Amino acid sequence: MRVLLVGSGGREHALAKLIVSSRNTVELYVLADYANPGLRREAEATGGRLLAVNTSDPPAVVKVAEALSPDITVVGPEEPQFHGVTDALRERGFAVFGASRACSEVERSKVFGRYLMWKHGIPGRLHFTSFRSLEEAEEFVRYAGDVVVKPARQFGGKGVRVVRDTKAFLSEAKQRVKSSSVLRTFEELDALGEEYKVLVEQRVEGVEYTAQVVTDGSYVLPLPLVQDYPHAFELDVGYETGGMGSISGPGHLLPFVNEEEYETTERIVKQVLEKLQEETGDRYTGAFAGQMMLTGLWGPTVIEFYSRFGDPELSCLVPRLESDFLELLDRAARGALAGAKLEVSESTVSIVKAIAPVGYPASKSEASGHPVIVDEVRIRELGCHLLYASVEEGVGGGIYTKGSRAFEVVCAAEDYERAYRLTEAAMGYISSLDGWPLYHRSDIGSGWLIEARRREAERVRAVYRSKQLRGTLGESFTVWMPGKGIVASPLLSPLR
Amino acid sequence: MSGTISILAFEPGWELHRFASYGLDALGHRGGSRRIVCWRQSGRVVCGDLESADSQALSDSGAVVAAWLNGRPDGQLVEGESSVAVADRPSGLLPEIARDVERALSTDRPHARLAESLSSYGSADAPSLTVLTSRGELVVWRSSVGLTPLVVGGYGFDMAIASSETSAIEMLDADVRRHLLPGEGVYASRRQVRLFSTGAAERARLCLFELLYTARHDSTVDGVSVYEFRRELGRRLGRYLDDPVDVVTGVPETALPYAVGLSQATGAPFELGFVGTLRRERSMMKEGVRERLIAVHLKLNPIRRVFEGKRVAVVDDSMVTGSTLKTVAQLLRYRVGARELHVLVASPKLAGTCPYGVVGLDPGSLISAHLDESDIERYLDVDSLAWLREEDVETVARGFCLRLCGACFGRSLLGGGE
Ligand SMILES: Nc1ncnc2c1ncn2[C@@H]1O[C@H](COP(=O)(O)OP(=O)(O)OP(=O)(O)O)[C@@H](O)[C@H]1O
Repeated sequence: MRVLLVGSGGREHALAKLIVSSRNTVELYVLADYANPGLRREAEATGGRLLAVNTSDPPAVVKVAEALSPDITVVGPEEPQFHGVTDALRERGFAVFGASRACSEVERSKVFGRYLMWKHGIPGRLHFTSFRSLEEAEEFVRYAGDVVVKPARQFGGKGVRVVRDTKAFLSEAKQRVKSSSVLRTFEELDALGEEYKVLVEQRVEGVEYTAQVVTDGSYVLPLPLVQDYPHAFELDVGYETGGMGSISGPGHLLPFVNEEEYETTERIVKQVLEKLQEETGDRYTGAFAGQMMLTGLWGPTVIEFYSRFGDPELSCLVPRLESDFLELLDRAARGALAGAKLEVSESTVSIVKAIAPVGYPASKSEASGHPVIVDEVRIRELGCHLLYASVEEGVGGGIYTKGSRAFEVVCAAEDYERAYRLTEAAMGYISSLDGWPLYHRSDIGSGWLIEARRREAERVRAVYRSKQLRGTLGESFTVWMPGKGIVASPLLSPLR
Repeated sequence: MSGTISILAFEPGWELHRFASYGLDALGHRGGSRRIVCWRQSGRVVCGDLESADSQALSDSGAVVAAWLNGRPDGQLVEGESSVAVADRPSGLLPEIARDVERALSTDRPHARLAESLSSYGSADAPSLTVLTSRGELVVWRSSVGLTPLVVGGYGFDMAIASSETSAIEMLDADVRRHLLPGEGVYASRRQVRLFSTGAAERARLCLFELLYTARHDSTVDGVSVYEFRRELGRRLGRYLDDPVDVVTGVPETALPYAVGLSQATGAPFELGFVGTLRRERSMMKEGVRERLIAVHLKLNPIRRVFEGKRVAVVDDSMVTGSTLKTVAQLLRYRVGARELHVLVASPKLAGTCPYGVVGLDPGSLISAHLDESDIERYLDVDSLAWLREEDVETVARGFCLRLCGACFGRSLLGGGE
């Protein structure tokens, strides 16, 4: 089977590994923006190749597809979807796994996904409001209180400011930070020509996890839950990143999410998919994910949607998926997913850790251009997988960092303690050649951090269960205004 | 006793002087007598009073260290060439450690070097540290012996905060992320945050006074709720109250959870007994006898109806000079007219000074080290007097999986010895 994989990073390397482990004989071609050596090798080992093109340029991608006539094209990242690459391929009759441009709007625009949830009363929604004009946004955040300020569109996993504001004596200082972040976000999105620039959302707290599914538009096949770690640094502090690691298991759950919460999450994801297709009139074919948080407000709550697999969420499943993943992708692409099953190793859990050059994520230029070396044999001996992410081959075959997370390591074992030891050991085999420091989060997957998440989940679980009993799930911000009565969310109106 | 709060902002625009100021307020109960704040300015680290510090400079600094010191900064504050180090207690080792830290930080793998050079202080009597460098790096390290606590927290994607107490982190609207174990430290800069460890010393333990007196009731120390620990000791006191009483009360503020525990154990009702005037002061930490008495007198106006004609059990966390309890006893007996007075102390008898300099005890004025029980009872003029025994603290400490230093009580280890 000839497979064309579009995308350049760690997620695509995970996809490549899952694809080549298929029962079918695979010939893998990869279309990437840069020469990712991991992807190149996966392709070459099957007799295919890595081809460098701008993956967000529909004519360029179509041209390659036409030359190769693949049996299936898998589009990994969201940017090509936003630019219409999936649609252009489908128009030419290719079987494509990946959301259409219209469907991927659910990720691209943070307003759209939220609007859908409010319009259809889907549980797990947060109060929010979004702005076209700077003046309105600035005025609003002056009174907004305990909120999160976000770019109104997907912005490469950055730009989110979580400004907890529950202490009046610090409120003024926080208000100034909110204002400056509104201004910055506004300018950045204005430059992109976006209609809505700034989104302000109710802040919640709890335990985050990602629920990924594969769908052909009518049948939805959930993958095991994964927890992703967005903070750049150990102890969950520092910058927002695309994710410094993830964990999955046991089974399809996580140590801090129970079966009932899993089912509620699945219902939310399915409802969103259904309404999304209704609204766009387009069939959703590909991967979809809810980035969730277990909160006291709702239990399972939606923070964000992905119109693709998560990165590094998918990586976590590489050692645990036992079914033929390519077959699933293929059936989804052909609208024949009904009845498909996903087999996952029940006896293992897995941990992914990303390693990045110092400088990431605040200064991409500092983090770029460092030669790195990996002892892949030793990592394989540990039973772990190495995924190449933001690295490229330079002249003379050396590998250089491109400024983001350079590699991911995935290890599975029968429990977290063992998987943890393996990932930490594997990290020791990655280093830079110019002495530039690389870092990873040693706390991800550790017993104490999992335990802290478990306790946090218990705290919010008690709260949402009590709200559930009282029939007030999702209700918050109710204020009694003398003369007006009780007003739900006086600040945040969902639709403007 | 002292306390620190240090903050590193990953993003610009945070008014750090406000955070430092409220952080220090949140630690004011720890009994430090001098507030300082250190920040970066014109390529150096400078320290001064918060009041006279330039608030813009503090915000621009991106990282600040604020602390309550024991009094004179000798041995607790070292201003080096490119950094400032603050210790949790006076220590002759501080200048040397501060120099080593400065050296480690000038290398290209600072956290690894730090761990190496601090490990050499594993067995020595090194204090815990907070260091700020002129490059905006922040280092906190809990000494291998532990003794005083250190916790690390975070605020959104914006700040990392380290402090002596969880309640200070919570008061800044941030989340507690980890109680550092003895020997653990964190290296933080805008580009990297790394947890490191030099390993715990074999005799690693937590100062009993931290749980008994220093920390706030609303703090969690090494994972243990201070309030619960105090209430549990109060429950154990029930064994030492032989006579029936009508009411149980505690000397505010510290002793209230002990009194709650005693009340729960005996069934006698807990009542609030006193109202203070002016702000809350930690009487034990006052240096002179007169200052101490002033603080005691200011915080103890009795609620008469609670005590009039009653048989009263009064609980305090510890007995140092006995002057607080003497004052209470006199008030309740002569001014208010309590019928019986039973005094219960929720810790063992103090036997000597603190060998680590964590708690400033004057060995000459420790009443229990100089008088026997019946003399103290006579001096206080009470109907009965009892202390908790070391075995009780031992049992409670084990229940909470704690290893405590009770050197000033004459026991270098209480609880969880393997
Ligand atoms: N309403 C909220 N309340 C509390 N925290 C939030 C909220 N929204 C976002 N966050 C935090 O910010 C992080 C990033 O948010 P979000 O997913 O919206 O941004 P993003 O830029 O789309 O990131 P990514 O593309 O990596 O998912 C979340 O993982 C969560 O930790």
